[in-house]
Amino acid sequence: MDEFDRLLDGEKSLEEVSDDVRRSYQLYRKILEMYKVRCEYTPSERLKEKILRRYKRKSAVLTGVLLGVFASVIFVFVLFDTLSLPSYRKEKLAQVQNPVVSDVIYFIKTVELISDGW
Amino acid sequence: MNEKLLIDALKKGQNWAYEVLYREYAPKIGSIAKSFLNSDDVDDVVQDVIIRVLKGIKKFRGDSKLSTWIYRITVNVCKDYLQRYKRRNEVFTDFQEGEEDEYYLQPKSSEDILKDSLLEITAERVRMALEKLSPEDRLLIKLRDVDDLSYEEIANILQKPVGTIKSRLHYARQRLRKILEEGEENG
Repeated sequence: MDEFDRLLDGEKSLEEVSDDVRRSYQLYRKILEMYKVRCEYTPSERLKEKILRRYKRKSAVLTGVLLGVFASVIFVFVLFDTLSLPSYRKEKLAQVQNPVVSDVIYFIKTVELISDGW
Repeated sequence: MNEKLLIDALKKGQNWAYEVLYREYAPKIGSIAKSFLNSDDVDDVVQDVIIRVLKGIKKFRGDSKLSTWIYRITVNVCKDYLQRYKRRNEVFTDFQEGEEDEYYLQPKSSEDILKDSLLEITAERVRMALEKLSPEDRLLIKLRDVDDLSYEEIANILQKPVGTIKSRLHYARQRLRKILEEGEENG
């Protein structure tokens, strides 16, 4: 960093720098003033409304998509449930038969134990 | 305006918060876009930045100041636009670095030119000198020397070390001075 930068950053005062730097500084400040004016921007009310509309539209589209996906998932679930009713019945049947099977196994195991004892 | 209150209200999607956000930040976003892009797309940049802010505010953790975060989004959006211009080949070649020699100087003013015209030429010279700088140089000068942001804040916005910012700003100032001083000698 040189004298010029230090002057701009407020680390040095105008009295502490050479005439050349002082002259450059004054010219630079004028340029900055012009630059500031050039960069000034006043946003319009119309733009404010436009942004809000665009944002709300995007949010509405997103909500719509999410609702659509949710509805589709529910539909698929209900459809699958309806179509798979016979297998559900099979499961029920299996549940009823299960105790019978386990009773038979228990009986076989008991017979094995008795025979081992003999 | 309490920043935390504003952030919370933005997260809840309250209308008054949007009003405040627009009133406080749209002029700043537009001003940065004007200095960075030097084009007429300022409204589009403001629109894109504010939409990104509204969408991303729920993820904003408050690690930095709200203004720093918004400035960072603005710079990123401006960079996207710059890329788009480059792709479309619409960017003016005199914005690029390393072409100082091609700097176009105003013709010498004749004696009968009115004072107003002379002032206009000076403004025109400044405009051309600024256009001669790279967008990054213009942005650094804008943030530090016009908006008076601290080096730390600029480093946060541009996500670069403070030392890099200081050194790049030094060269940017030097380039601007050189262009103008050359213009003065020739004008």
